[in-house]
Amino acid sequence: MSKSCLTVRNLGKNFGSKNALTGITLDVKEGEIIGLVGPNGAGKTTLIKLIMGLLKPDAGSVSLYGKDIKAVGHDVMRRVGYIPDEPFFYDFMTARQTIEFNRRFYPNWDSQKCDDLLKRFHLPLNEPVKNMSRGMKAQLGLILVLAQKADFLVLDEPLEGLDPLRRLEFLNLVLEDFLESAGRSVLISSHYLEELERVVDRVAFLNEGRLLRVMDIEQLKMEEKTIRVVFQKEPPETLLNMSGIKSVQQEGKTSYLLTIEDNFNAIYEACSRYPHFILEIYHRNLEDVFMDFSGRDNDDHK
Amino acid sequence: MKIFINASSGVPIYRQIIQQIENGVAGGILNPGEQLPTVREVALKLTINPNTVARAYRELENSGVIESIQGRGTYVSKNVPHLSGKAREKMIKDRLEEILREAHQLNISPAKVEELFREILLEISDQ
Repeated sequence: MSKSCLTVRNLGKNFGSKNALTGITLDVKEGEIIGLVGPNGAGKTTLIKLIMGLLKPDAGSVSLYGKDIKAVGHDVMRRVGYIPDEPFFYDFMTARQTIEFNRRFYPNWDSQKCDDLLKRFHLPLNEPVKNMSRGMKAQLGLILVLAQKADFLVLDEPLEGLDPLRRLEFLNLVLEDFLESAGRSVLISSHYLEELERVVDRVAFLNEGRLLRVMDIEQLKMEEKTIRVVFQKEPPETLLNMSGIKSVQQEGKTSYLLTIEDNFNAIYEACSRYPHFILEIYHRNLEDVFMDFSGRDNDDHK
Repeated sequence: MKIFINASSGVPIYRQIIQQIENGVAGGILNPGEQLPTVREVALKLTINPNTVARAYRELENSGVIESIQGRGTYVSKNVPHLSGKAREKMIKDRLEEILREAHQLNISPAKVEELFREILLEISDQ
């Protein structure tokens, strides 16, 4: 069992009378990349701010590398590289000045890496940051956390506003960094599910302030399927009640749509043993499962 | 050999890699003893999680398709195990079963299916 860089226990946060987050429990292990997804307003940014100690929880706890966030020191926080949902820069500073300003906070600052990245991106070093495009700012933000040589990257919607090419480029840099040493970890929130699907080990689904499920991405693809089956006669009830079947939709007299979240092979076997006319599997991806968790049925927009 | 990934497909990415390398070996695109790119190279080339690539390589190694030599890299096995006769038969049987069910559903009689089957068989053996 590998160690956790982040431990969240029963975390809760209210804004006035509104419950922003309730009962969140989550671990991020050393050596894994975890995606945080959920519709707008689900609480992703609030959760990330609590993790970074920028908000005070109303319940529960957050620990980074085994240290409670309330008592955590600079030595631990330096191991965490954070890109907020709205990266903050002093607009009047140039990229060069911004880098000089930031490096002072980090004793492990990697100047070589910083220079290499700046060269790769062709960022205008002597222009005030306010003249930079959104994509350039995102790159500058990433350079700052990578040069910090953090062990744990916490990235809040870092792909927002980047074109498809830049998104992959951005993720490649994150992966390069991840590959540099065995214990690195990444927590990344994003609406770009297709990109996220490529790079994560696990995905955490957040909706309305609750963590609905944390799933291994490969597991999700192996187990989350829909089966359309038309039996030759009424199937036994035990078949439709097998564990792992999330929902049963009857489409006709003996035809069913089974949405499966677990135990796929056994369910498929059982269906195939029973006399049938049609037995088809529809694979589901992260977006399909996301829609389920967000409470949307794709029947609605036909 | 170029590997293609469809990230949003319902087939896990590590399965896609395994399938393509297996097919590459079976189809002679990858030759016995040929070196494969490193996990790092594949991950960055395709922008995918390195753990996913490592998992695909691990499974390919377990099934004897590739072998890794400590400190040197990963290579296509000198003698790739072939599917047994039974396994090959089952592959075809499953596909035929699927087609026959579809035929039934489309109201095509068994006699007609047999006729089509022979027709196609003849066509193929002519080529």
